[in-house]
Amino acid sequence: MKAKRVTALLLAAAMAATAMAGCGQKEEGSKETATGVSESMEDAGDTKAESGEEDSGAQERAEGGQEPLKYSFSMSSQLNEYILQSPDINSDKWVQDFNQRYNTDVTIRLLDHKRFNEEMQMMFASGDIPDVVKCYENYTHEAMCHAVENGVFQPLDEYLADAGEKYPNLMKTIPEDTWEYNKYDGKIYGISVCYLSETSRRATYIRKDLLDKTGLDIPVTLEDTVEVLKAFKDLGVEYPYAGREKWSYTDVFFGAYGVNPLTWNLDKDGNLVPDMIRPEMKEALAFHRMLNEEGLMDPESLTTNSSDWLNKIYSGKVGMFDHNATQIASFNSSLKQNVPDGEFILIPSPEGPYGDKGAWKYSPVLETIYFNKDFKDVDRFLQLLDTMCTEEAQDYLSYGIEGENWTKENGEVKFEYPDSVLGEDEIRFRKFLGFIRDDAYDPRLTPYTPGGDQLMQWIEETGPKEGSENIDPGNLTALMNYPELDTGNCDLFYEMAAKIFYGQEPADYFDEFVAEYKSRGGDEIIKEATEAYQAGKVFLCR
Amino acid sequence: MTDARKKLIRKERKENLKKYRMLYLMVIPGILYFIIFKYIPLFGNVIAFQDYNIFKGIFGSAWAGFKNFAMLFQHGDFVPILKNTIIINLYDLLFGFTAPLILALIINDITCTWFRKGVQQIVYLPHFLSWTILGGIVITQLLSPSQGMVNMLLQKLGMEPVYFMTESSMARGIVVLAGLWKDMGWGTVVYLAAMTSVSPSLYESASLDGAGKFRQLISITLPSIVPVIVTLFLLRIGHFLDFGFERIWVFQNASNTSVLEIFDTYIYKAGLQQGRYSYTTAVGLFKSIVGLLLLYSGNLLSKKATGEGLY
Repeated sequence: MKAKRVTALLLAAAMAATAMAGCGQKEEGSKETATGVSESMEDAGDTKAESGEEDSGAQERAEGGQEPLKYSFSMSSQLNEYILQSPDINSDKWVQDFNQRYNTDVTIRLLDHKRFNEEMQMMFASGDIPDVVKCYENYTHEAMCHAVENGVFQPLDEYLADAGEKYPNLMKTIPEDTWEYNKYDGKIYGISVCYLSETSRRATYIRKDLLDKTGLDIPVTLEDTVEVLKAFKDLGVEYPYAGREKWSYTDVFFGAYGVNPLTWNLDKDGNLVPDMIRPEMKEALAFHRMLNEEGLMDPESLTTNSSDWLNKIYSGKVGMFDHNATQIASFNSSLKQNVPDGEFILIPSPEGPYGDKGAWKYSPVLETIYFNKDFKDVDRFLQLLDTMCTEEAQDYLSYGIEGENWTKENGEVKFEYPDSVLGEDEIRFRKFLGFIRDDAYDPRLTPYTPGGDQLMQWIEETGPKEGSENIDPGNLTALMNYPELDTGNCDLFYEMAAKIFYGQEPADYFDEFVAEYKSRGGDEIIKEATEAYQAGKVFLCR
Repeated sequence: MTDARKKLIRKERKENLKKYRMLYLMVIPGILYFIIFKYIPLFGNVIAFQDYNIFKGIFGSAWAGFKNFAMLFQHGDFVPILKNTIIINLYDLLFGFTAPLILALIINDITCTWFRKGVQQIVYLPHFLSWTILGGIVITQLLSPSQGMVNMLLQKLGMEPVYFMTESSMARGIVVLAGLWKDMGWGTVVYLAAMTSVSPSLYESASLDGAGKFRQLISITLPSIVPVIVTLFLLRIGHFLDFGFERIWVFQNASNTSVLEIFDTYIYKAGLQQGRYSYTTAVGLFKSIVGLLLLYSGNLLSKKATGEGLY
């Protein structure tokens, strides 16, 4: 009997172990590949440096006798086609060219965009952290796993002490107010290399050819929009409006009520609460339910993933949707492959009953880089960033090699914008290498993109008037105890919203959700968020 | 025991070791595999009793006692998740276990050889598709309200299309049925092999005595394969609660999470997506303990009933 018990115990142990072993092995594997890549890269880098006699980097080395600045950095692959199609990104021609040009020795570690948070966690857990880590928003982003608070990265104040003199270009380029967003405990930990000069990004897209067919004007209010969507439906458009799972990029009708499932705002009592529980959310959900009942919105919106959603749009089945304004060129080029006469235009987002419109305002800090506490060359790296802010470097990052990809005639740039997603993504990748970029729009490239005028017009005229201001509460302790109540994670909310959307429950079901949300820990979260707001510890998105 | 005898045994052992040294050597990699990949990682379970911090590691993290377990039992979703896990597993055990048996009995009675072979090949096929692909086919090609085959059929019959994936009442059924489609054919392999070993003379004499096909099935085929059935059943019980993460994950969406959330998906969400390692290790440990209890009682029952057991 005793032996049997032991066997049973061992069996149980083995069962419990499987999960753990799985994790361990995976970690091990990724580590191996990472080091494998970096090793092969070192070799490649060396041969390159030896053979590259004429490049500027070699010259500089000859003058200053400086070794190439060696650093590794991690970033999300961002679903970038150019990156995904590259067999080994570190031997990519642009990486090599960049190394030669700026006397660097770069090793890139790509993290899968779709599993970004997990991959960041794995990276932190393995302890094998690159010199430079790039992540979204500021240090409170979920994927950062409280790494700054745990002392994984170094404070930069020392290096930035007389930054105005040392790195004049950098300090001029990066918007001043973004530094505050990466201050923890009074010290600056990150540089927001990718920032937004205009924090309203998401625009309403509509099929101009279809709108012309209906004979209707560009809609202004929600009622106008419903009219247009109905006319689209009569024209036989399969999905007059289409959204996607978790209400991602399904913002404009939430924005019309001044809310979004992802953002936080003050309620009428001055408490900082997630929009999920604000009464305007109930109205917004009821509106979506109406759209579905009337057949004006893709009924499968809540189960459609991003690629299926894009396919519906590209194949011309969608009349209206919302996405980042900057994507207008690629949406149009993909649409034209299937519908030659089709054309998307950016219109002002529909205005709701309280005068709200647009999606939501982003934080001006879109991507931040952090420096591993063991990285010694921060000074030189900042010097490199400073160089990246110069006109010359920005020309290179946007256009490519002068004489090869573009030329200058009479002071005017002659450049041909690529007509494929792959070509566009190649430019994006090159810009990743230089870190510094304004993601609202690229003043160099925009004039050359199809519809570039339209985009410029949107950014100058429409964008600034749109988008709900909101407040990011940062890292709350209560959210660590109840992560399932955080915006974006809250299954309770998504299930309630789906039930209302599909008419399985009346809109008043929302009130039950709010009560449950509060009783399950929401009250605690709101209390802490409000205190953080009153103490000025939050981040404003406006 | 006398000294002489001890000596003899020792000598024998030595000779044995020498004689079969190749066999002993061949065992070593297997033992190492289990020690390195199965037993050593077990110690990782200690993080269930810690406030594990990925930056400090197992040795640097503070101890937390049973805090994580307490958190699990107090969690608002604990009872629903436990309920879902048990219900889905019971459904799967009930249908996933009996369906292959019935299918095997049917296939076994097909006398035309090429037809039987053909049927077997076709029913095996879905087993080799991954859940990601199979889930995609079920969701977009079969059940989608706009382009799914099932809904087109319903519309042809004059009925309204059904949004299968958003009806939470159907979610568990879809998961179990998809599992049947995928693995029912594959599950017949062992049964069919067992059935071929039944002596044909038994059937001959039975039909001489006037027993029909059904009688033969009840009185000859089934009793002959009972040991196989019991063994397979016990092996399956051993996997109870290990429903598998992928299978549920591909079918989960906003409107059915409340009925499809099981321990495996919850661990993924809370552990890998939200980074609560200690807590989810505690959840996993709890799941293992429940699974062990079920295995133990299932085995006990089986021994009482049939005299056969796993151990």
